[in-house]
Amino acid sequence: MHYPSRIVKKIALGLFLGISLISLSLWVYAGNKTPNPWTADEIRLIESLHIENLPKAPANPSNSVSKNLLAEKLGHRLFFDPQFSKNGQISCATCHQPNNFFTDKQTKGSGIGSSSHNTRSIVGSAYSPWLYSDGRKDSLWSQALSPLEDPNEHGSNRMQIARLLNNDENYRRVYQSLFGPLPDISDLQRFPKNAAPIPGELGLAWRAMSVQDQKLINEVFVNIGKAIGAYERLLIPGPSRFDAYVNALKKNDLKSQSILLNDSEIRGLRIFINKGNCINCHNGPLFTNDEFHNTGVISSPRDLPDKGRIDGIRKAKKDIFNCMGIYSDDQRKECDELEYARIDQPELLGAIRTPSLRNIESTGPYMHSGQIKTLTAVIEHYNQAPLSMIGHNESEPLRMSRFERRDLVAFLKTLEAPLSTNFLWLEPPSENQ
Amino acid sequence: MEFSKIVKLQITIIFLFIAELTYSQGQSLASSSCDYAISFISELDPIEINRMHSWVINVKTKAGIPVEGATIRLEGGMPEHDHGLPTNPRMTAELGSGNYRIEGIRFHMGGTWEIKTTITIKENRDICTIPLEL
Repeated sequence: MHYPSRIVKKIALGLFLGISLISLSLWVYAGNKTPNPWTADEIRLIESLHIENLPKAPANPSNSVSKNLLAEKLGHRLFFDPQFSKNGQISCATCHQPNNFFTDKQTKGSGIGSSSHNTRSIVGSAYSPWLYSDGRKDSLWSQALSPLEDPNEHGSNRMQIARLLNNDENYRRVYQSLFGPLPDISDLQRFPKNAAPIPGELGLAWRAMSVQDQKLINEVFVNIGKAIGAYERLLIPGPSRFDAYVNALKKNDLKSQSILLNDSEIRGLRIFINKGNCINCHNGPLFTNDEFHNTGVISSPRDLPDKGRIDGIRKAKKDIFNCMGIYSDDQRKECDELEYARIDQPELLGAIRTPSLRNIESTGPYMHSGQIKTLTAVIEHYNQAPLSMIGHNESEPLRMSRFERRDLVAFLKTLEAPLSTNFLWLEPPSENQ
Repeated sequence: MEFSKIVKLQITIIFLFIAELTYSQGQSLASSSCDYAISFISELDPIEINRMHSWVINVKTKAGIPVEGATIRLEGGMPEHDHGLPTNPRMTAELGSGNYRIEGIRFHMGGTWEIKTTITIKENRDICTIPLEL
């Protein structure tokens, strides 16, 4: 049978248009109704990162006032008070700025001088068994004491701090209702104006004091730390866009999922839990395992490579302000983290504590000394996994394409969120508080 | 495929399934290279990462007799990542009937772990490996 070529052409064109229309409709339909793209294992991993898995901030047994409202208020005031510094201008909030998620956007912290390290966020740190990048402190209260006497940070000293408390009627009243009477330090022969067990003149003055008087001052100093620690325990991250996505995932709400994260962010999440190996260390609802890893980060110019955890654990074990020390309120001294910590293993050399990734976009520069300025450069670092300057780099090159690296950064930016802490705690306390 | 081969394959699959089930319940059999039959019960069941906890390890001879008076040492790590346990666990008590309490155990990553259990009785030392998937 022979058909005119014009009819054949029309039928062919009709078929072509019809098939195109059906394909387009299917594509649009599929676009709106993207089938759940995750395997059961992937869903388990994604849900493990959900902020709803975060329990209430634990009380610290070594700090008997860690859940005491009066202590939280005292700590709040101390945190923002610049009196507790050498020049009367540096407070904890100078570097740990509430508007910057308690970091300072600087490469290294800047107080009386330049700090040796980048300012870490303290949001969520109540959950961490170790503080500082090398974990040389095992509680918030013990950590809070170090910057006060660091000559480059507050540059203050425990004797000066005890005097400030004594001379301020409000501080004295609150302190005494929490911890009992302040010691009488009016005798300048026994209690010099300034003294602390650090090198230099302050150390000489400290060593001239009797052991009993030193202990009296240490107790005041420690109680200041415990109040600051009680306040810091209140700083908790809030639910981010990623967490809203996990909520939608749990409800199998595909429409909300597609609104909450775009395709690039979802691809980035897939890399985060698979090829990128990020979840190995950045796990759990705070995106950190709080452990120590050598990832081959090059030290800053003029800085020696940081020995990391191998030094940190030695310092923590020797620290008189640790969980097992006489100033700890944990009567049973059940300090499992300290007791069962590893020491002297080669893999601890150059190992740095994993930071949380919540609000990571807003808390650069990155790494323990602020060596890397942007998230893109951080991902590039992990992609290359260079040889470590000290110890052994645990990570392996990831061979991510430029597009994959971009997607991973896009995902990390979905972890931004205001804190879930009441805003009153994020501002300096008012006079009548 | 011969009938006997099919039966063998099925037995292997059933064994693997049971082994997997056992691990997920926080108990495990040791590798066959070890002279003892060991199992453990975790204080955390299922085991969660980033949480310090303790185990009770049970040691029996292959004939099923509980092993008393042993010293147990727990080490191990993740072969894929070339690192050890994040803590230094220690035996803190012998509980009788071949049971030993080990405290200070924490895992900081999901994935495949190998727990090396060194069992020392007088001069004799044996290492039993417990595979663990978290």
